[in-house]
Amino acid sequence: IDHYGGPHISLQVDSVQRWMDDLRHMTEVECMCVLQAKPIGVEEDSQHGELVLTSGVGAGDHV
Amino acid sequence: MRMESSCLDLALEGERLCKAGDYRAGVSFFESAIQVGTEDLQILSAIYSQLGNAYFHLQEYTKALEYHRHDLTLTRAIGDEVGEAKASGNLGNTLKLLGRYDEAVVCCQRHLEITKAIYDKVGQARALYNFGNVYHAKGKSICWSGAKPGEFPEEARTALRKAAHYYEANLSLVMELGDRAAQGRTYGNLGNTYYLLGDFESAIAAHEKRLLIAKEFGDKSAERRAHCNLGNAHIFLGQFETAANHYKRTLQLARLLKDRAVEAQACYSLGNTYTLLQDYERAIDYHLKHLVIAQDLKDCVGEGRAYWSLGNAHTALGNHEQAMLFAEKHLEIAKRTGDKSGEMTARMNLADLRMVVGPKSNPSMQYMFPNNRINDPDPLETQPGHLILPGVRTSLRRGSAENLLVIPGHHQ
Repeated sequence: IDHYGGPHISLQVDSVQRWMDDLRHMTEVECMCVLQAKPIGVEEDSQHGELVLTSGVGAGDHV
Repeated sequence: MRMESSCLDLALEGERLCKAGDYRAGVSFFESAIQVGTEDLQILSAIYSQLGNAYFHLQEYTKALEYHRHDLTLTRAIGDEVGEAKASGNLGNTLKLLGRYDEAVVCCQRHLEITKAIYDKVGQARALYNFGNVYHAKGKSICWSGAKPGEFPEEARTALRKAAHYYEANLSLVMELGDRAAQGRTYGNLGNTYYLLGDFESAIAAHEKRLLIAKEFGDKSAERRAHCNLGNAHIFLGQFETAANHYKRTLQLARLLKDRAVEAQACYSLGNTYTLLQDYERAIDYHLKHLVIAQDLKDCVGEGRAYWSLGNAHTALGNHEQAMLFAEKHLEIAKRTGDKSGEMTARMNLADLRMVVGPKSNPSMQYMFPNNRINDPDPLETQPGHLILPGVRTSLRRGSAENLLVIPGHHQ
């Protein structure tokens, strides 16, 4: 019903449907960034200098 | 010679500070080290790399990009392939976060090529994981910009299929290497990719494996994530009871981990799931729990959603007066937050409810909401139940589970 020329208002009356629409895009993500380090100091315990970190960007998409 | 040791000392101090988590101070030591300069190009490469990573931690991605690029240029110039592989990987991660996916792909490709050429399986696995992450992020960014909810443009699907391909390749390699922690991460990402692609059965299979590994490691956060993802996937298969059980575990773990936002989200999911099961009393119970936390956290969007859901659940139970109270609250918060769509929804619900309850104002409502001008004439409410507005899905007017079309196993 878009022929009225007015602005298209996306309106949903059903709260569950709205939740499901959001849910369809929602994922609880794992660590999405694995950076690798190049150690300067020599340390035995740093295993190959791997550095794992989770980024806040693009994560945390809860309502 | 004095200058040489000075650069190294500064760099070592920068490294120590970053390890201790003080990236800001670390950055200034690394920058001082660069000012002093060194002839040892391996050390310079390490400084560039660590500086890039420190800026990455500080979320200054443009700066991170600059230093990882310097590192890449340097490693290429000195023919250090192992160093070039690492620099490519780090640069790829940075470009990904800047939304420059095509350039990130080129970096991942180079990272993969080198690690393959030097038979570095651990490095290769990392490159494949990064590759998957770049395509996953690309796909997701296109999903979010989709015009309509639930619609995934073909470009997004192509990117997500590539993500799945690289995660699968990574998985077989980390299985060969026996790296259980890496397997857990990959299963989680793979599950999410299948989910976004609409392949809910495969998503469930992957998240079940992720859950198993999380339990092996006693990793409660990962366990919580897996239950939440499993709950979501079961919803789209129409398996609401199973979904509710996963959301209950999510809720328990969120409480254990003292994560209020996640606790609220789990309650909200449970409220909606019980609505789908047409168990409205339970739905109300969870939506009220969600409401309390949303109020505590000053989450106005969440609070508005809670009022809306509570109104609908009470309507379904025939508690029209209760429903009206919540619709009023929904209207109030939608107005306050400038949520136009929410405001219209609340007005329509109120109009419908007034038809049922009667035009007279309820004294108890006046008592509860003394500032609300309940009897004010409202242009939108003059034609109750028969509003014609562009884009309004009239078939969904009555918010209840019967109106929902859930096709089990529906693959988009």
